[in-house]
Amino acid sequence: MSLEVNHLLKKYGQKIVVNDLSFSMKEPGVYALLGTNGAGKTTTIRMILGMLAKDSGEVLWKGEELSSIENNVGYLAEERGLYPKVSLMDQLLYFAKLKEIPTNMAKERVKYLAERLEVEEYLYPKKKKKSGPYKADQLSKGNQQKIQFMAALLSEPELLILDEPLSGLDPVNTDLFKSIIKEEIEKGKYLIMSSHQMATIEEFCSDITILNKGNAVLQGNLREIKKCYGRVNLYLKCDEDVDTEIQKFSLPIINQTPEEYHIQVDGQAQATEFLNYLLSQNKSIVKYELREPSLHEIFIEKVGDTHEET
Amino acid sequence: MRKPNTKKWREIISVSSFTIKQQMKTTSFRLTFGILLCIALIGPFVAAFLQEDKDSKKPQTTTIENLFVAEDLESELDIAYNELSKLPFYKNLKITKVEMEKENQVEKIKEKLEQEKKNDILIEICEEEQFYIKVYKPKNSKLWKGEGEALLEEMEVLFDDALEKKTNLTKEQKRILGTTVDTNVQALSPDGSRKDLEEQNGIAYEEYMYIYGFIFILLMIGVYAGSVISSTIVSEKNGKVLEYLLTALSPISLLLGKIIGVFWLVIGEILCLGCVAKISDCLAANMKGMGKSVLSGVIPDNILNNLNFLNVMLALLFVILNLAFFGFLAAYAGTRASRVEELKDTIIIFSIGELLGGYLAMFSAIYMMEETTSGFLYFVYMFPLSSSFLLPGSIFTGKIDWRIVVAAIILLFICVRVLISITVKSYQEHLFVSGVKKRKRRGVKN
Repeated sequence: MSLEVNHLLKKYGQKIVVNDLSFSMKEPGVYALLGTNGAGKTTTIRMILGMLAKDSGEVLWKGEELSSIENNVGYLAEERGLYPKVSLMDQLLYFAKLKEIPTNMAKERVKYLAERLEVEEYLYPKKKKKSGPYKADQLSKGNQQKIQFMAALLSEPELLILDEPLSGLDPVNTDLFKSIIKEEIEKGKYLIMSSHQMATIEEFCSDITILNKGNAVLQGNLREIKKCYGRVNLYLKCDEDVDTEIQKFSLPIINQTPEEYHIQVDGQAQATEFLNYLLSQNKSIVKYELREPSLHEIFIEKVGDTHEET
Repeated sequence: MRKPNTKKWREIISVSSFTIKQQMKTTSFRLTFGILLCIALIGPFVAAFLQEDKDSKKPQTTTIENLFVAEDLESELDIAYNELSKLPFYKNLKITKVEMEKENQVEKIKEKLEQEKKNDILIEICEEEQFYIKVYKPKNSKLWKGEGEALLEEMEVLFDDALEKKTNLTKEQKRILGTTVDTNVQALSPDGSRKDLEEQNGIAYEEYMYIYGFIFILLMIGVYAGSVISSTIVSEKNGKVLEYLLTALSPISLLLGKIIGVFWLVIGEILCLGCVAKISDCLAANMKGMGKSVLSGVIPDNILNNLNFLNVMLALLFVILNLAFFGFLAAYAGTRASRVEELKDTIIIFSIGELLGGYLAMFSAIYMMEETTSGFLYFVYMFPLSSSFLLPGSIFTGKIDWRIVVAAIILLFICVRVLISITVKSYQEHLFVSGVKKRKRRGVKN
């Protein structure tokens, strides 16, 4: 195993912020840390990076204690964090120097990433500005995020931790970020991603941990989780109302539009039984589809469940 | 464990050089440096113009046209004023003796000198318990600036000769009469040591001004450096850039790098200004034909005499310790705040410390004019807040016991070391503490 997080614990006074959290990454890929606001995702990330002292537990990278300073780790923070009044190039070269990247190599890397992230105009403006080179506070939030992403990728890290990497990005830049993340995956990197965008998580992540109030409420391989979830979604399109039939089977309607029903069934067997019943009632079924539950549904249900329990 | 230490120092150097580079680009730095540079450049020229130096520009002959001499002596001294005319410098001088019998003659001549822009001088020799020779010259004349002093020197010679003739004393007898008597008290200890008890060992006014100048400059530097250190620490926390930085280096390296960067900037600034002042000093002296440094005429002789390598190194050490102590105090203030707005509350620690130390040193410098050895002064010499302000300048007076200097250095080292530990601990504890949360916790008491 390359990354192991074992029994992480963090307390602030009596309040337990992260409670006995463990997970691991056996192979390169993307690991998702999900949770509501204040669940402990950022605290976990900070403990993994060594920024916050752990009350107990360990984080091992290739069998040894992980240090973001000693090991090659990249980090994209959730909040924008650049020097507002320092030129972008100066900042990136400074960050590269801190990572012990030689200046010439750093300049080449900056040039490559600037092209890749489409921010060349801010780092290599064609016309000299009177006010000097671009500074961080002159950029939009999205562009600042790109610069920060560049900083995270400068040292070509083996382990990359992304905290809400796509928040605040427009669709074009979202696709751009996704393409770079895919490239990193293809290069065999280990990524830990935290996000509220479930669709993105499902697109990239093989393994997840859902946190709630510091506790891991669900962990494991996403596909396995969905398989074992015990419920499937039936999307049904009929020429007429089938409300009565649905009520008869006591099936919960998740969503209903004039055109489609989204119904929750226990499994394929129950779905088949219901569809046969509709046919027996001479209902005209235009279309039906059985889908696995979405991560969004699983998340809502899991976090909702634990809310009720507390 | 050589490798980790080397890496740590490389990190510190990277942070230092970045801090220096960015600070040099700020408007406030450029403005203050520019102003100080102008002062360093122009100051010696201004000092040269303000200084009177008769030796450097003495004319061939006197610029005095008429010399009026008024005597008001009870003793009948026969002063040979005509001997002046025999001197090559005064060969063109017209000497007129004022008739004291005529009423208000002296006052009339004085009025004439005030109103007319002539190159005339009035000398008044009077006797009131002792002899006085006074020189009156018009303010707005074109007389050579050194005329008054040169004339007084010659008049003293003529006066001495007249006294000799009158009293029939020989030069040797006069010398003995004029010799002053020095007094001294020496304490003899059983261990054989003998120490002079100086009843009056205070510093001169000029030395006080020199020490005051040193304290003032250190205070100004401290305020500037302190504000830069504390604000850069807080702005990194506030701007969230800290999160990225901590993935690349340790909090200690970041903190030390920042402080050392500001130190180097300040020291570099001082050295640069010192070099410019020295070059300007030499240029001004050459321009005025003074033949020596202009600024050395401003610095007291006693200070110049104590300007040796050891004292310079000690003074430099105190300056460095001053910067270190107050730099870390400012850093501590910065670590306690999580936003720039909160800094005004936490910076009080630094402000009070800096001002208390500085003003205590200034007051003590005044006290030193009275004496340099007292319980109060020993306290100030060794009190960490004030010692690094007072001692760098005082060392050059030569009146500070070396044991006090050593003790003060040791105390300062200890205090700086302790302060470093406290600051680093505070920085690590408050890295991700938000001031807003603290306020909420205090406020929520239902």
